Amino acid sequence: MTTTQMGFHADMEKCIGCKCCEAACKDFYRMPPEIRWRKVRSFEMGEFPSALRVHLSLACNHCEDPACMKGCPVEAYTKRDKDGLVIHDPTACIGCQYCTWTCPYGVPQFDPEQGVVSKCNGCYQRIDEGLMPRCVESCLTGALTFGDVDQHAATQRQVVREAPGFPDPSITNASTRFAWPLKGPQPEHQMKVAPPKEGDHHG
Amino acid sequence: MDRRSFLKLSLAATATVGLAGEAFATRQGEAGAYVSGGPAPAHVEPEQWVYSTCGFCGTGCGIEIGVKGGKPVAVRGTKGYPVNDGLLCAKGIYQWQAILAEDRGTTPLIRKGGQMVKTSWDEALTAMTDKFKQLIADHGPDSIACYNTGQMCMEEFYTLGKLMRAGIGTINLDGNTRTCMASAVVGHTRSFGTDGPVGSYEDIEHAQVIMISGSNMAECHPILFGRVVKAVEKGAKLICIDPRLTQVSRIAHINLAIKPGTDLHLLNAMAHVIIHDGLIDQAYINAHTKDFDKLAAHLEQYAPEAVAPVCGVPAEQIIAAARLYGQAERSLSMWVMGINQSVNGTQANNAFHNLNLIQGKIGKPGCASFSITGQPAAMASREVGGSSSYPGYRAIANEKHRAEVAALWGVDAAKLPAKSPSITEMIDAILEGKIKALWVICTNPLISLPDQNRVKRALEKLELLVVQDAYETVDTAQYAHIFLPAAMWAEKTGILVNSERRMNLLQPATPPPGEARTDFDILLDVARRMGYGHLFTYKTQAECFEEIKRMTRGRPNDYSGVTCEKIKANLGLQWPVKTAESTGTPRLYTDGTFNTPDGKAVLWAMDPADLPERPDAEFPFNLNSGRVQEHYHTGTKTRKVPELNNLVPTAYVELNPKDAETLGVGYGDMVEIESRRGTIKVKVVTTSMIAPGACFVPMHFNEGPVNQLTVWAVDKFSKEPNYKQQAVRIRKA
Repeated sequence: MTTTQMGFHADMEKCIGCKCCEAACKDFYRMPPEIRWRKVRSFEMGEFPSALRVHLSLACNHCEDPACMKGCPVEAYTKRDKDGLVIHDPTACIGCQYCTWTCPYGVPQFDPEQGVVSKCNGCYQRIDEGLMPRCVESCLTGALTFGDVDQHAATQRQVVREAPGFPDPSITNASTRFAWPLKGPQPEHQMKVAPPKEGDHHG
Repeated sequence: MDRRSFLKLSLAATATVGLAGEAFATRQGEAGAYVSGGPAPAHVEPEQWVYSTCGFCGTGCGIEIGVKGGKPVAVRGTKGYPVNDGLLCAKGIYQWQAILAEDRGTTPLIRKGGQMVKTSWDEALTAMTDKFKQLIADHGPDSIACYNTGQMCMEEFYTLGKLMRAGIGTINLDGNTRTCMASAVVGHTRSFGTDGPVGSYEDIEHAQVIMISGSNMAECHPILFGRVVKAVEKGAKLICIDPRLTQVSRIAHINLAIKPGTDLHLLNAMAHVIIHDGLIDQAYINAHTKDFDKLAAHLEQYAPEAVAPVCGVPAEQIIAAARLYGQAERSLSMWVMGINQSVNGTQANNAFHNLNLIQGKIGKPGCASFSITGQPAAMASREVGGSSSYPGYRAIANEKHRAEVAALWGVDAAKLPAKSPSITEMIDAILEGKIKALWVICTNPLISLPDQNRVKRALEKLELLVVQDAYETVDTAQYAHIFLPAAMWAEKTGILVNSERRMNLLQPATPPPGEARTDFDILLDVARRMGYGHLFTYKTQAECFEEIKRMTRGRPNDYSGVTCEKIKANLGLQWPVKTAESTGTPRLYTDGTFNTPDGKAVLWAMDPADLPERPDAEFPFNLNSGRVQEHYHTGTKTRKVPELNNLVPTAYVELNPKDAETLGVGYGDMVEIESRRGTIKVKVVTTSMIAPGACFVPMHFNEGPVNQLTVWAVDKFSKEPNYKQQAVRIRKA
């Protein structure tokens, strides 16, 4: 049983869409150009001159109930007890791509050249060395942070489980949390936070 | 908008924002490929990290180049470096790949029978210098021209300037800095007496109000904008002035989305409000400026109510912005190309200086009138005579300055050129047959100068075009008679200077490919072959820098106390550094004494010049051009990095959805954009971030070159081209 769940927090007010997180990740792990473990998505709302473009930086959501794991026939996925990070082992992967169908967030990506899937592993080796994930370390504005999801409330302006265009986080209990931009629509009232599952430590 | 419609829109936007990438077939170099031994993407750990400076924009980030097996395999930000403290933008992170590109020039090329063929350095430089000598003998030195860059290092700019001015003796030496910072240079000179940005990046953290104008800083100077975002989070107020909506406007407290080319009207109106509200520093004005009364009287006609319809923003917004800026104790203005690349560029620079001078907001922490630079060594070129000035911020037209330079160089002052035409004047002189040979160094004018068809005609007319560049596929080389392969930033030693006057080092991390040589080495070789060897007693960059130091002693950019060891130990040094003890100067003019003859800053009463073109019935759209964060200039480096190029793989035009609907086009459709000068075909990106009636095309793409369309018009003071406002029409292709 996971005792602590670590996860990313993305503040859409502070995110400027510079893609440094994405670049730092890709450059560090040297994945092929087409594979992007972290992706910065852009959303537009409103009309000129009050239109806004906001950005959402997403990688693996290191779910409490990971659908990728369930779909894997060769147990290439493990969820670490100590921090809840979901790690994919490409040497065990047979390239069947079930996980690319079961993950609601489209996180695992298949590389036809290598015949295997890969995804963000939360920089678990760096975490074990007491470092931050490369994406977090490279964020220019402090928009992207990482830590115990129960502790975000102490450090973040807002902690919300939903984000624009983000699938229902309750399906897999995604660990990623968000702060919404200050301008534009706000998440309060409409925002349903998925209730913790029975036996879950979150409360 | 309620959340449901927002989400609906969001999902639609997911599909539309950003063009889908075309995958690159191959990786560049073994360092970029998977590490052998496993199928997983894997980290590559360099064997060594080399201290250096980023080779992209003028932010001037400290970097370390990771080397493995003699090749660059990574770049990281220097921890603790005052500019970026370990951070880098996406271009900075990936830049090691540009060094390994397959089209790096490895041998000189010479045109024989219409084809560029490999040749030796000796044959290439002999052909070049023989032609130069013949032209000088037949037509005089002004038949030779050189158009260079903001991306060499200080020692190279100095050597080039000395070769062209004291050696060849031509008036025709200009840099692509003309298309970038010339309006800032002339703006500084007119207000303060000499060039030189006054502020420091740390003013971002000290300011209570930050005003960013004509700058998509989030994309073009991301490291600086990261500092702005953090300052705003801590309570600083942000004012944005830009006809496009950007990440700057999104987080701004006041956003003035003005009509294109109306900056000077707006700045005059803000100064009007500040004077009327009594938000001025009368003691400072009296002690340190002149012509305030003239300015105040002139600004009477620029009341916000009069200016609002011109600018297209409400008068209340102009008043609110002026009061926010004026009521704060510490206010900072920053601007870039949206201001400079206009027929009103210089005057708008002076309007910022006016605004800050009348409040005494110069030379104090958190207060600056700060022009941000676009290239890593544009400042160095300006400081040591790489283009339109003499070393030590000496003016080309100043007889006393020329005499000083002549004495230091040991040459006849009468032979030093007393004028310096701009690149657009040089292009016209080529077309008139006055210039017969052009030497292009580290820049790509075929793509970057306005009115591409005119530039093509000029390049075709040349008797000799020498292109010296890191890449033999650089577009301008299509017209070259001789190509000289040059080393890149990670392959040489030298000094760069960033926007805040911070001098930092380049150190070689890897040797140049094949027979490529440093620009420094090529320049000295050309000088010797031309018979000017006696002018160049130095052999190394270090010896050259000692000579440069002597040239700057007692000048505004005094480097007397600089050594390379000291630069490294202090993580960069902000000039002036007058003594061995000095660790640099964060701000200029802290005592209110300026570089004008009487020590007073000049306040300028100004009216905007008419724009060269305005949208009309025939050409109804205003075309704006600029950069995106994934690319740099004409893409010679960034388009060879698949990770960057996949994100923005080709040319496009931003159109407001309403205009797209009227034109009957949608996202991804091809359109033809036509101006009075040319036509391009590009993809449509619909976005509400651009105003109806406006369009924007990035400058990076030779397959959709926006400069086919741009107008041949320049600022009358700075001769900087007007890239931001021209009239075009658009139709479905």
